[in-house]
Amino acid sequence: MNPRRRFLRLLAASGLGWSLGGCVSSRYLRGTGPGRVVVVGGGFGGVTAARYLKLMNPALSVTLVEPRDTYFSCPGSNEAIAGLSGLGTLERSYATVSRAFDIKKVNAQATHLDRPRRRIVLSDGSEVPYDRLILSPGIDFRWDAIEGYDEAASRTVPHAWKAGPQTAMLARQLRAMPDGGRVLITVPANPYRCPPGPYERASLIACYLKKHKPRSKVLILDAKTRFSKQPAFEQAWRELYGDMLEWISSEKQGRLERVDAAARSVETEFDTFRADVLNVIPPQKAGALAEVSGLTDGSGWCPVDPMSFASPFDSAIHVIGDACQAAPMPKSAFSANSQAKVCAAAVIASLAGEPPPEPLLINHCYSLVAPDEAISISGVYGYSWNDGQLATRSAGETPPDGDRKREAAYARIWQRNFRADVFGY
Amino acid sequence: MSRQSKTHHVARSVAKSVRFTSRAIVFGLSVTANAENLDTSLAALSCLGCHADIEQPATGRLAEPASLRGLDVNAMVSVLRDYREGKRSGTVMNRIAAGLKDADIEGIARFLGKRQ
Repeated sequence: MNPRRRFLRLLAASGLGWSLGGCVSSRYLRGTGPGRVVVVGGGFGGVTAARYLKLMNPALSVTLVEPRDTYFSCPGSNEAIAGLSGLGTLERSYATVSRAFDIKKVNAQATHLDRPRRRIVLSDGSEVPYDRLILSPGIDFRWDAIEGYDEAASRTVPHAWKAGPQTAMLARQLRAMPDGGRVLITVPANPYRCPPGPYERASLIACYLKKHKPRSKVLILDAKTRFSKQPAFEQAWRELYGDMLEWISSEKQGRLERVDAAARSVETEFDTFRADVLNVIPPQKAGALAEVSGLTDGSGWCPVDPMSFASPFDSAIHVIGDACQAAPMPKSAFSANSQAKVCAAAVIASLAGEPPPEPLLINHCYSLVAPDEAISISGVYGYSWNDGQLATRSAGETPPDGDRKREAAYARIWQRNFRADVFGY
Repeated sequence: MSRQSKTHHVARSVAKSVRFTSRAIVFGLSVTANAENLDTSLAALSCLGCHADIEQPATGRLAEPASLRGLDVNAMVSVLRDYREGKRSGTVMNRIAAGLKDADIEGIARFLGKRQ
């Protein structure tokens, strides 16, 4: 019997069958046996996983380990940089989620894992035991990748690639910039968090400048030769911003050699660029906890079995979100959300000693090119039994002549609905 | 009691323990479990990333126009097929529907459709 059939048979026999109509003691909804599931990391992936575990099985013990009290959403943060919204709209409280869904919240930093004993070790030395661990650690930066751009440099030259204080810093610097100044954004090679994010950021900064500092320019210095939603972005830029916004491919300037944070300048193989506002988006890797726990490979990211998002290094640990390698899915909040649901179902199956159901995953993301104009990209991903990887079932993006106003209206609803699907409010 | 109302009864009693949330999801899971279609219910859960089907506790309003509540299952099947086959045009749904097989569409519609 194939794994899918076996899982379905489990469900059929689990008390939800028609013959047992009114019975709520089903294994699937109520759970039996060991069931301590711990989620580490309170981003979109982690919170979705915790919430959906409880929705699927309210009796399960679910713990979320996350040191912060509130979360700032990266989707929407470019709007805050451009002054279209405040940071407050991006903020979600873990206490609310925890209370509403009976998720235990541990306010601490997980420093490492004791994998043989299935325990998470916290910064104060205490331990949290688990039967299954869902790791959603997000990204960390490769501080050694660009000469002159380390964590200390990021205190004056923001990356703003994790939302919160960095977002506010970039917004402040943009406000303080003189008219006629230059904003320079450097973009890393793939893979990195949110492939279209830098180009949305450039668009919305250009929009701000056009209105408030019209003699200024935005320059994107890219480590790539092409980028996500490129035809639609370039069409919008031509129509909306003309010469104000310029994208420079790595074909023209080669490698980013070094950053001088004090001088706010960057050197490529061929030129030096000075900026009034410098935003360096550095190369990335899986969050530190994944790395120190031996769950990454040579790429710096975590390989997973996309059927369940289990790690090949440890079957009790699943890795979701930006930290995992789930190509061809991009590293996006929506991907993390979709992966978290597949992972939650797989964990519940695994605790019952059953194989996971076959996944079908979706990614969808909007980029605003102006306050009331947006473009989008979408993909549907199935499991390939041939190679055990994800395969693209369909993919598409807004065409250059797409209806950007209509998509912007949907983008706003999406932001609200998506945060509600993740955080429950 | 009919099959559907029995299942609905199960779902309601479970949902009481989950504040603020989503009868819909629990109901959907129970339906799909019975329908031997959990595979497609996973696809339907991804649909909720945009079509969040959550009662907004502060206002009591439903998210719209993305809420799929109250849609007839058969109507949803034909809408998704029309998106897939280009008989109906949208911004995003044509691309998504292009990745769905008949069984996916039927499973998603059963999961998401016909709820109060």
